[in-house]
Amino acid sequence: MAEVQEIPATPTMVMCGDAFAFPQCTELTVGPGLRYIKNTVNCTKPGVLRATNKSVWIDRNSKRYVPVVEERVIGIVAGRIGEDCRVDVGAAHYAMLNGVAFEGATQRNKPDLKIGSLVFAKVIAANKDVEPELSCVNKNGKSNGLQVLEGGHLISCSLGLCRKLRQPTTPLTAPLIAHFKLFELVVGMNGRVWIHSDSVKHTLCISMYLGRCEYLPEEELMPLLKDIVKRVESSA
Amino acid sequence: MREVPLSLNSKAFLEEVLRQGLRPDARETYDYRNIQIDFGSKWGHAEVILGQTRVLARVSALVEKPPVMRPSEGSLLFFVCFSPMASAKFTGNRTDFSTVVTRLLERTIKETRVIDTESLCIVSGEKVINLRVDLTLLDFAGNVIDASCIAAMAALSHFRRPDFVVNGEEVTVFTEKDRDPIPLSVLHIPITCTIGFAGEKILVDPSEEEESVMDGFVSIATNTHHEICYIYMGGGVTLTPALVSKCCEISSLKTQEISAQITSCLTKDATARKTSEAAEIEASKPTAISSISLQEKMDKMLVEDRTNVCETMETDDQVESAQYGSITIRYIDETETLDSGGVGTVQEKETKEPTKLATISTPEKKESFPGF
Repeated sequence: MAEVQEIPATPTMVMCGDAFAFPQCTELTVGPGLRYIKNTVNCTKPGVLRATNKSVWIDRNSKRYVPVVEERVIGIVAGRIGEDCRVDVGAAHYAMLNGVAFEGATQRNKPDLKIGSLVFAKVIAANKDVEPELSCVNKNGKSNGLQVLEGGHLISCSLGLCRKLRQPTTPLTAPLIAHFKLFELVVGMNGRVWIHSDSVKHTLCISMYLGRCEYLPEEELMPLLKDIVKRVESSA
Repeated sequence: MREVPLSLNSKAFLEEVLRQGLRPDARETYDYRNIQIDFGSKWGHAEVILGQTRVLARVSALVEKPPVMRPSEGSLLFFVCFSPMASAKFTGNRTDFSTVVTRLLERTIKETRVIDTESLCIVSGEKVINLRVDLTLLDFAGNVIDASCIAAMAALSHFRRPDFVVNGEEVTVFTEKDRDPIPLSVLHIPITCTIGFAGEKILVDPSEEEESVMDGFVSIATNTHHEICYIYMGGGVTLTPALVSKCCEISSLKTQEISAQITSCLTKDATARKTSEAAEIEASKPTAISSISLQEKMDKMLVEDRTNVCETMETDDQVESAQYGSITIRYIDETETLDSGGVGTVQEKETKEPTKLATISTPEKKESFPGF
């Protein structure tokens, strides 16, 4: 058993089995990968431990997605059961999406979801004992960007990259914005990114770039993109 | 974990990429992905990494009785395992595709007589060497056929079989320690080249994404003598004779490159083994100190400890034992003192020796001194 230490002030790398004493407080939010047992916070997953006054969590990268309510994910329709669609979100189970859960959809007028279609939806129910449920519409009937995705290309990546891409101040997309005039990225929290741009070559460059940019330092991102663009142009 | 299905969007995108004359990983039309060949410490252990596809090949030999139909030939068997860690597609059971790969390797390597099986015969009708090549797919990223073939050929070229001697009725099969094992007689090196077809476009060494949209493929095995060893066609694509002969040319060119790479990796491995063997021999050479016998070593240790112990003592008794410092060397010949001190911890010696010296040495040796 590891010795119980004080929660470190700066983010530190922790391994499974490390234990930390947390000062007493009325409300404590403990993130995934941690367990609060007898006034100590025990780590069950490796990663970087971060803490504030009221919360403690572990930042880690992984590829397996576990559905969480309110997260937006990109799913691939795998089948239909009556009105519902079975959607693959990369989790252990297929998720269910109601065929009418789209903005402005009625029984007579609903989007045609073929097997293999891409859907950008929100997780509305995620219990570990039940199949997760998705929806493309919120309580007020508005979609807020959730929809069936047409065209483009889907790539798989790690969950950490998706979280990084969703941050508004991320340096990863800066070279893309500087180089390509028109492109669209939809980032799902389940490790999937949908890329759409005005030309096939641009989409190809962006997908190759995203596959390689995750761990590079900021100054190497633009050279990477330039190298990929050169290779794609010369191989045509 | 389930396999991720290919979405309609991605399928349409990849088809459009191919239609425009590009490849999804920006390779040129005839380019292979990077091939890396590594050998293990055991003979016949080869690992090939083709892009992201990894295949491990292990060759082993068993001395067995041959079948009645072929009494003076050894055999060569292939076993291919598509492990579930390679891809979510594989469940660990034998799939159709693994049977295809096994059969392809048998036809390419065994039936073109790559290994001279008659040289594997020890005693006709009684004992032969049966070779077994086990291939395990560790990571699936397209073009398993080529990776498996390169791995199998690299492993067979690397493998050493046990040496044996036949004296009339007596057969001695030597182990690796007794006699260096002998390389197999590899008569030629066939390498497959898989070319996929997607509409008009040909894809040499198709990656996983390309395999998911291609209509069919052809695998052509050629060797460095420009001989075609085997042609296998998969999928439902019709080929014209011109296309087939073009693919044979491509395969021949690629085989030259890949065979050269296998040969250079083998020589690199041979030199690496020689240098590491030389280093081992250097390390195991007896040094000046270690050539002293164990007895003398223990003597030295005990003397050092006893002199240390004697220095720290202060009583009269101990002063006597300090005198005996020079005499105690003789005690080391006695088994008693050895047992008490021996090669144990220094603490033990410190506690035990003073009493021992007092009991054993004092009466006798004091008398002997005047006699001196």
